[in-house]
Amino acid sequence: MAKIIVITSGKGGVGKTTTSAAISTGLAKRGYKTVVIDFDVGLRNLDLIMGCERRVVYDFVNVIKEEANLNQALIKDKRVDNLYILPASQTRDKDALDLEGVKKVIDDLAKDFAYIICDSPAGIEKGAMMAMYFADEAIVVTNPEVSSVRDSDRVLGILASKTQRAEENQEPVKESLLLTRYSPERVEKGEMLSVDDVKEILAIPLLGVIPESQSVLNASNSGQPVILDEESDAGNAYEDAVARLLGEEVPHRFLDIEKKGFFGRLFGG
Amino acid sequence: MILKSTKETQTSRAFEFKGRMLTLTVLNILDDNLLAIDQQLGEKIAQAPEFFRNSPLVIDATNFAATNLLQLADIIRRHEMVPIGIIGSDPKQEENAAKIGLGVFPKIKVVTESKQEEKGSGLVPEKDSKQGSVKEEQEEKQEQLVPSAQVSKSPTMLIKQPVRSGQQIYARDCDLVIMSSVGAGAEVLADGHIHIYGNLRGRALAGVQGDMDARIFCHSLDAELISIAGQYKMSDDIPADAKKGFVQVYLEDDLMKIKSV
Repeated sequence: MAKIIVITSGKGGVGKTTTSAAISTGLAKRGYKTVVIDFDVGLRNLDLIMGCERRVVYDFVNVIKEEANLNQALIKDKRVDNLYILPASQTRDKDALDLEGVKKVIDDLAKDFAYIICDSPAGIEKGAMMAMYFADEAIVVTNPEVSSVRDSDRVLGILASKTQRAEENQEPVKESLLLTRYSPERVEKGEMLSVDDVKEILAIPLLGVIPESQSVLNASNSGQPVILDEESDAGNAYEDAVARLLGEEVPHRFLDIEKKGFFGRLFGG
Repeated sequence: MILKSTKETQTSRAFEFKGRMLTLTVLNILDDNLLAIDQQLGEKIAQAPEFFRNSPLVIDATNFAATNLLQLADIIRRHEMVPIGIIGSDPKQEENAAKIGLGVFPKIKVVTESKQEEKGSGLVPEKDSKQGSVKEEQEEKQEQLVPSAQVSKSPTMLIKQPVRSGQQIYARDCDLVIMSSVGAGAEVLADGHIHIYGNLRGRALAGVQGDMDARIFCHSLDAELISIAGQYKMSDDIPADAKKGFVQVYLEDDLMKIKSV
């Protein structure tokens, strides 16, 4: 039985797609058959971040409308075994999604896959609601700043009330917090909310803290999920997060200001 | 809030009587000039027509035995309200009420002083009120029907999860206890008191139906807005030192006070 994890946030641009790509890659690397679905119909990015934009023939909406079957739409990742991508449509919009259709696709995927990662679009409208409706777990991606925290709080309210688990009174969706674009220097200066501040406001367990890193932009430019960049701090932080997702106890890194040596400052990263 | 329907098939009973506390509006007749009543009622309703439309109304004409109940009931109905009963006055009046299909609520004492203790379950017995002519059970019923805006009497609403931004919780006819924080952009309302065992970052409105004795208690006050019985203060108007520690907000002489508990 597959575990369905939604990567959501409310606020746009905080790192959902980066996280979806990184986490699904991380799970696949550890041997779990994983599929990552782009729910952002009309504004798809997952295929770019995963580096498979030139191999998209059929998409999620085609499958829902039975214009193609799953095997035709799923794209097998070239770098990592066990990893598949179901891209969104670029030409249609969110109205093309319907709950029954989405349910059928997820049920079909659940037969073969261990993890189904749903990359949610920003906002709380139809696309986001569809992405989170069938979730067993939710990773709420938040930047350590006030508007992102408030939007995440809103999303947590919706996860607790408008998902299948909530409506059918099953065990609630397991929520966890992923703090992204964290800069210990700015926290020290008081410009940015600290991990404790955010944890206090949102009151959900912390999955991980991903530091602000230039490697993220490099990764999306090259179409390679940042977790595959073994030198990068963000990549390593995602590895830690995947480990915690699988139940391991891993201490949080990158929370304190690093004392970089001369060469460290010279070569960045 | 998710409502579950419990499908119970009770093969024996077709109904059951339940004692319930309901908030009712009483039309207290001060002058039995029906023309004046008609006109002034019209004016009052015009201020908030939706609020009054289809409201059940209890008539208190205890001081005016001669009030023509039939005409009064007509006036009320014409203004789109529903007369449901009278407060017992003399036997003749009660007979008239029965004739036109109005129920009779037993005689009550109007309680003017506010109670010192607020009990969650609500029955506030008045030990010195036993008068020979009044039966015991009637007395209990009277206390329940006191129409003045009192601290609410239904079981307290208990929320165990944080109240998230965008959520709204309304504790109708009772107090509200929240065992976590209230997020910015969230709203909690109660007809009675509000207790927050956490931070209040959103809006809290207590005594929304007019109970001026309602209070707000919270572990830390960082609210966007606090209100008691309609009187409110915004975040900017709350002094900084009032925002520290466990505080209570209440009305004293119509002024909002914030004190540490």
